[in-house]
Amino acid sequence: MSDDTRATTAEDIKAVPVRHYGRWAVAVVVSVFVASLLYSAARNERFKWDVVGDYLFSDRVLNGLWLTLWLSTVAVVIGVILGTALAIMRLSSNPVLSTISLVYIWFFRGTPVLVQLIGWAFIGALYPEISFGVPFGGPDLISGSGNDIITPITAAILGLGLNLAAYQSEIVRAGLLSVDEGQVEAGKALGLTGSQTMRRIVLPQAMRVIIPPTGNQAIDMLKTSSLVSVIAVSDLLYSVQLIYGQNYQQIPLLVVACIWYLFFTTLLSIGQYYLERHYAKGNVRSLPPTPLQRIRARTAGMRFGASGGGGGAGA
Amino acid sequence: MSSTDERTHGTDGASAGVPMVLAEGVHKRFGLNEVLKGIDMTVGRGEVVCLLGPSGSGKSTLLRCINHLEPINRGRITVDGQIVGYREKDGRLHELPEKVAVQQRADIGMVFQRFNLFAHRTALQNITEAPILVKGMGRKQAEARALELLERVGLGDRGGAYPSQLSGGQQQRVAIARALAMDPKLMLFDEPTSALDPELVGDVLDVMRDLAKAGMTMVVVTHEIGFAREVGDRVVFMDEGVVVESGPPSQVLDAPQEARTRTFLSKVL
Ligand SMILES: Nc1ncnc2c1ncn2[C@@H]1O[C@H](COP(=O)(O)OP(=O)(O)O)[C@@H](O)[C@H]1O
Ligand SMILES: [Mg+2]
Repeated sequence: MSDDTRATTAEDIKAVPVRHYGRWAVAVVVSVFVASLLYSAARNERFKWDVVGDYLFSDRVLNGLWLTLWLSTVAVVIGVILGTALAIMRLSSNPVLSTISLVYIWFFRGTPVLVQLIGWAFIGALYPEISFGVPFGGPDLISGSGNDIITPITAAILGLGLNLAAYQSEIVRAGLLSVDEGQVEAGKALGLTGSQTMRRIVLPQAMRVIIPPTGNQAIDMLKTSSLVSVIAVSDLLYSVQLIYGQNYQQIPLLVVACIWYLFFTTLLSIGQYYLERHYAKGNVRSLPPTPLQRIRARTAGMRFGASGGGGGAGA
Repeated sequence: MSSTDERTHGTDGASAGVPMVLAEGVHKRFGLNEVLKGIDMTVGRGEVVCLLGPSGSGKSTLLRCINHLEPINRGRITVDGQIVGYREKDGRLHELPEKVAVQQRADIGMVFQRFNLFAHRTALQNITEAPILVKGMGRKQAEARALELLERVGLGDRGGAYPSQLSGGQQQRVAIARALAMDPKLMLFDEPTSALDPELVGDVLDVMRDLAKAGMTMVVVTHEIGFAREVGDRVVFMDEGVVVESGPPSQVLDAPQEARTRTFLSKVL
């Protein structure tokens, strides 16, 4: 049968694939270029890889890293919760709520985050006394001097979180608007309350649209948080700055910081990938295989000599 | 939004003498556009009323007013003797708080032209969602009931499928099962077969026919004249926000009195 040049229609098609010579050529050129770049970086003594190695796990760097991580996490949590609330307010039929949301977004998106951070840090100059309590002369619940309540860390959290919320609210709003009105209608017709419809029907479906840009925001926050070095919060970047201020090893220490930033942004991207898959349920007829499933399918394929082809795509 | 109508209606639901749906002088405006211009309609218990009329005549709006997805501007609608969306006190109408309004809606099933199944839930989960959330039913019990209903609409084996994995006809049958899971006393159908490929219409109509046989009170907006003739107890023909003609199918469909009805039927048949 293999002598027969005509393919029979009774068998699965085993077509000879088109050869993409151009693609191969480009791939080879680019690979050589990247390899030589890596090689030169590895061989360049000015990178001082030994210094990088010395500081990568040093206490001061790890302390800064830890602060960067939890500061970013808190800012993202505030941003996502407040941003969702702002988006729901913005879409609400209550004109007061939607206007407040609009003005909030206008202000926090319209001014540089660096200025907002400095503003929070120097709030003590604007409001020497701060108190939270019943408004218009009622009793105070918390009060104290502005500088005691707004420490640099608090300023960093507020500055980053409130700024993120403004952007996040637009992301969430786009997500909510992407859900078909018929879904709300069906929820209401079944007797669900407005908030049940929002939580159980609309938000989960909006997630598909909300997750990718939110992952982007989280990754961005990890790096934007380095701005807090201007208000003397010892995050990862500020810590390495303090170190190279003493030993003048700028490049290797900045490399140390970048290695950590890259490591954690990579982790976040992987997390985002799986979250996206989770919320794609019902929208993609069969999800593309995860890298792990793909590797498994490929090794299985090699064993049986079959060519690629849909492996175990879980539904 | 208060009515000048001083009559009082019994608020004790299950009284058998009260019609299931009673619409009196219902007006509905969207901005300046008056869509319903004084609709009077009665649907008796166990009755199947088919609502016919050209596109834009206000059929969907009327259905949406019956379960208070849209508030009406004048007149009143009662379902099972209760004013929809309001409570009458001292001759004035008070808007119902959401908790109570939601209970009223839970007793009225609705089936949409475009199915509106929850896209992120399987067929089974679509059906169990409301009984669990609204009625506080246990998951096990809700699932058992959902399976029963899926069997009833001929989809016993598709419980695990997402809406995107089902054909239009299957989706609509799941949507009917979803509405039935709330044990409604009234079912509203808004062109349930209009979005379906012709060969899938029959399955959905079969389910509706069985439902009617089982004694369900139904208001069905449809262009399926055959269904209206066979299953409908009464046909109501609407045009431009008013009821033009109503009566038994044999009368409205085969011997229409009004010119507008005749024109419409000549286009649909
Ligand atoms: N939510 C709405 N806002 C504004 N106009 C509407 C709305 N819903 C329906 N209409 C208008 O009401 C009229 C009747 O619509 P509808 O009840 O959907 O008619 P039918 O179902 O008979 O085709 C149409 O002119 C439509 O544009
Ligand atoms: Mg309609």
